[in-house]
Amino acid sequence: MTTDRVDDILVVLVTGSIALLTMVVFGAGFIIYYHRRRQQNVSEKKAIIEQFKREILQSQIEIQNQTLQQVGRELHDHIGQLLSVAMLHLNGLDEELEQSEHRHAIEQTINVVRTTIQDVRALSKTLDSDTVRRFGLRQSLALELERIERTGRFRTYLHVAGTPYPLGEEAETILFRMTQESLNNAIKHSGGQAIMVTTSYQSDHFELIITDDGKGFDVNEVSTRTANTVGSGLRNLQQRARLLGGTCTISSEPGQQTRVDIVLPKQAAV
Amino acid sequence: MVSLFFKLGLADQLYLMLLLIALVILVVKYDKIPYNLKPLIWLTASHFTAEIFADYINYELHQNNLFIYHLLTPIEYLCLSLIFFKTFASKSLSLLVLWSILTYFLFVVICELMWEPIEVNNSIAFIAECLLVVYWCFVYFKKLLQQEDDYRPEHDRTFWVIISILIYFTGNLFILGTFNYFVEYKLAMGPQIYYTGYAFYYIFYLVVIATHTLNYFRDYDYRSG
Repeated sequence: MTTDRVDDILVVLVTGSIALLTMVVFGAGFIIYYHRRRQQNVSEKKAIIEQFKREILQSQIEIQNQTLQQVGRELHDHIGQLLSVAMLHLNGLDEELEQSEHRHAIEQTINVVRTTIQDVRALSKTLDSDTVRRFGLRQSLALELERIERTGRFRTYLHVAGTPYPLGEEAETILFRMTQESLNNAIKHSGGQAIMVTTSYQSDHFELIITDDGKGFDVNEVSTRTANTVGSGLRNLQQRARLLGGTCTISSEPGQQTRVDIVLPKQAAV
Repeated sequence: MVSLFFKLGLADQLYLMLLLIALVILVVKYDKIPYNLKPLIWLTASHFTAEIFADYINYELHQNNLFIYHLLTPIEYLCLSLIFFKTFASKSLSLLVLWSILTYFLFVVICELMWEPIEVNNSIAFIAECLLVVYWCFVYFKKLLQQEDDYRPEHDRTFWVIISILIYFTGNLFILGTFNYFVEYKLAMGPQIYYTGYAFYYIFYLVVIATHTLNYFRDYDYRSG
């Protein structure tokens, strides 16, 4: 092989190596950049979807609050007022018919109307989110449990652990609504006799536990039901907890108690 | 033909062998070549034919073979632009590629008539071709960044072929683009500069062979965007 030929081959080899290296570096660089960018796009999309979901949930909660507030006020101002008027008439009638044989029936009616007035007042308070704002979560939960207790169908217990700290108006309202939903589920489906609500104020997190001693249910089966059935209620609870930056775990098994465990990190709550 | 092969330098022999292997593989696997890369066959065939004729004229007839490259350059650009035309999903971009073929042909004719007659190297036409091809390569990479779903460039046959085209034309932009200058002013360096270009030919055809023989590479439907 002549020296010229060796030189030519050497030139080709050196240039080839440099070119190949450049190609590999360019290719690898592009692939890395592409995947990084794709990852970033996926994360951004996820964040947008999450934000969108949060906003929808937020407006759903606001609409629900407004509706409940309106219903609560209507109950208090209109129905409550009418019942009070009925009570006045009944009292008048009671005095007029002091010696009548119907007096016993009137007194029974007066008692029913009195209880109804109390129930309507209590219900209107629990429906009004201002109650949570004014009295705080603990007091509102106590009122709600008292109202359920009065129905005579359930024994209720409220246990507060730790030193209570404010969780923020919005968080407390959402937590209160979540508790109401859990309590309604217990009343409607559990078939139990006792409900216990525990609030635990820890240094790094807040925990709200709602338990009943009912017949329990298969959580997996209920969670997979379509959106318009009961499963959506459980999903709704979890979504609300996520909205607050926390978690909601529902544990139950057929024949065992049901426990709804809502945990909020303290910073997210405040 | 065989006697001509043994008269050639090692670099030319290697190049011809690579061209032949690539051509055979592309012809055998014609049905499996993705829609957008089918013009590669015409590109390889034109390179192979041009190389055979150029070597024959140079080694057997001992005459100037540069006119072959004057013919090859527009054919080469036509084949490459067809690859890009079929690869780009955007209608407007594909149309732009088609128009660039006409414009480039016109430019080559002007160059031939005004500055680069067939007996000298067609550096200007080649530089223009390189610039256009490099531009289309970058347009392709930019479009790739907008790909979504489960696209993976590392497995994409077209991606590696386009990278090798980019390297081929970036390298040759400097080598063949400055060839006239070296022939005119630094003749001693001419052959070495010329042989440097072979490295890019080898890489390009090695990539073509690899992407059409290894199962690692897949095809993506670029027409769907």
